[in-house]
Amino acid sequence: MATAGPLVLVIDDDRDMHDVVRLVLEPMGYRTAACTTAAEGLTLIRALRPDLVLLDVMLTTPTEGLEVAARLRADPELRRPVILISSAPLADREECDLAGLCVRFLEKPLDAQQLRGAVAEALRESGGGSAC
Amino acid sequence: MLTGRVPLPDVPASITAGKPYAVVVLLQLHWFLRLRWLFMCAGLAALAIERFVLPGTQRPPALLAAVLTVGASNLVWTGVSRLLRRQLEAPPGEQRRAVRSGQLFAGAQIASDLLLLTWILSLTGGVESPMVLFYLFHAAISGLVLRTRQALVVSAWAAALFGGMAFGQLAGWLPWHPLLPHLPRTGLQQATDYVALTTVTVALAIFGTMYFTDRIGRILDQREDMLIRLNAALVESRQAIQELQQRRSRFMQTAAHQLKTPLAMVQTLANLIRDGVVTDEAGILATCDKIVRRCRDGMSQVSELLALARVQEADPRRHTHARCDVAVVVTELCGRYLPVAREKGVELSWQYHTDRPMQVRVDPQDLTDCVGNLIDNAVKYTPAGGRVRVIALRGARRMPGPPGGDGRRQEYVFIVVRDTGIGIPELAASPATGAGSIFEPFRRGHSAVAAGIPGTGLGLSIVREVVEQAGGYLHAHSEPGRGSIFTVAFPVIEEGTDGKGVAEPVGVSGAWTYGANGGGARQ
Repeated sequence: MATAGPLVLVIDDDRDMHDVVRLVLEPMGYRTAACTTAAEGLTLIRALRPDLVLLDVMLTTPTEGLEVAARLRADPELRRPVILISSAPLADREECDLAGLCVRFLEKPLDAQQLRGAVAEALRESGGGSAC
Repeated sequence: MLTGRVPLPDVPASITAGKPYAVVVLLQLHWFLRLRWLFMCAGLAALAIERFVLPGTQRPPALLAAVLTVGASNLVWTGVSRLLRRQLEAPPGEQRRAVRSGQLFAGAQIASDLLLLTWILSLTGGVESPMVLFYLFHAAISGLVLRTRQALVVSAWAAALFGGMAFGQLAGWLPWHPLLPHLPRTGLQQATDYVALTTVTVALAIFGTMYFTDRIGRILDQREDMLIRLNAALVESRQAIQELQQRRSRFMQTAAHQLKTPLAMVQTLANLIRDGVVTDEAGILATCDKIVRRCRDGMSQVSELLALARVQEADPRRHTHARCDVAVVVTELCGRYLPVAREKGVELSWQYHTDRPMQVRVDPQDLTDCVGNLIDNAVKYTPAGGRVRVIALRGARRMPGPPGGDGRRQEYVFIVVRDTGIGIPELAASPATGAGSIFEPFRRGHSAVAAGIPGTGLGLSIVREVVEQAGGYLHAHSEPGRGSIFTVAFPVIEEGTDGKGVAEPVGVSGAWTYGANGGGARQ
């Protein structure tokens, strides 16, 4: 049942990305919500309590997504699994730094299988259940 | 402890004005001490060897006392120099005083050494002694280390001591002792002519040596000062180059990332069709539309990057001889954006609040890029039913004080682009246009991102770059939800106009209002 599936929140300033996530995940039984800014994202996390957050690294500044991830980690009320998405590849040092901020890092471009796999694994690892 | 080589202390030029290297010499006061120990040991050794080689030689007991006094005085100077070294390492604010007391100390040592030297000289041949050369050594040191006036006093002291000794021995007030008692006496110390000639010669040599070393000291001083300044300038430019390289590197990374974004989305969207996520015809068509739009976004990003690169890389002097008519550029640009605005339901109007020429010293392509970006933003971020007004007018502005200007009034053409759009919260919070502002490359306003309006974040960077390079003026004001006002101004090319009766922008609590003047608005 789609309504009962885990809720995935997308925070990405690229609205096409919202559609991609919706098109890829909803047929699999996930519910999706989306917003474009960090402020909206934090409000929605408090209001909707999503099971997973797909977070773009580059929002209004090149690293605003990382700041959001750090806030999610620091606040017990907001803390939940985060998958960071960026079109920039990771450097070794960043990879270490990101270890505590997210459960997965995905580099754009994405394909359906990769996104579904990452979401399912992240939810399974966090014990948040999985979709069909 | 200050032993061995001491690096040049980091002393501001203002403190060391007047023989800055003297600080180094004074920090090396132990040189004097070592030399004095050496002199005393050499003196004692010479006396001992003489007693062994020429057992019958008679020396006055005062000679041994004088040599030992050199050692005793050295003990005193050692103690004082330890105290002074601490003072020379004092914080920069107190170093000037430390240098002065260091110079006084060095002067006192030289004066005392000269006294002892004269004493020893009077016991070892007086005017006949070749040790008179040691006066020149002291004159040289005083010329290098002391202030000119101090060095003159020390030189006068040396000449007076030598003269006093020579004439004292001539008159018989002081006993005379030969340098080498086993040799036949010449009696020159009793010859008035010889004593007078030697005294004058020694005095001239002392003052001459002091004069030349003082001159060399001053030249060294200037060179030192120049080196300090050159070094500071080099350090500054190295830092500037490093900062520039870092900025370039960051810019390149961000640019690459920004260019990758639309391409990555094109591939992601294409993957949706390839992977069978989107299968129905309407969905495929919608995805293809998105792909086309993202390709267009990528193209416009490349164009804006090229525009920014062109402005940044070009020689800023190109504006010096450039000539561009603001009216022509604004009319052309507004004509270009009119269909876009109409299609969007935004009213675009433009007016010239002057009938005087609006020739400015800006490269035409740059002015088009600059004003084009402002109009493009205004139309893009103004919702249907809103208004965009472009106003050009002439006005005078007082130039800022030195070094930017000389306080005189300069005629400008002001181009004001005013919209009733979504506004820029970042500008409302701070109207700054510098580092960290919305004018930095790839910075996009929160409201623009939230509204989902595509943009590259490069437009305002191009605006700022053109304004800075052309010696223009930039002001931005915004109220979220109500709109924004961007004003750029460029120096007018004067054509014999007197500047009277022109519009004068008046700053009112961060915003700008304009008094219109001159001919009617042309639209």
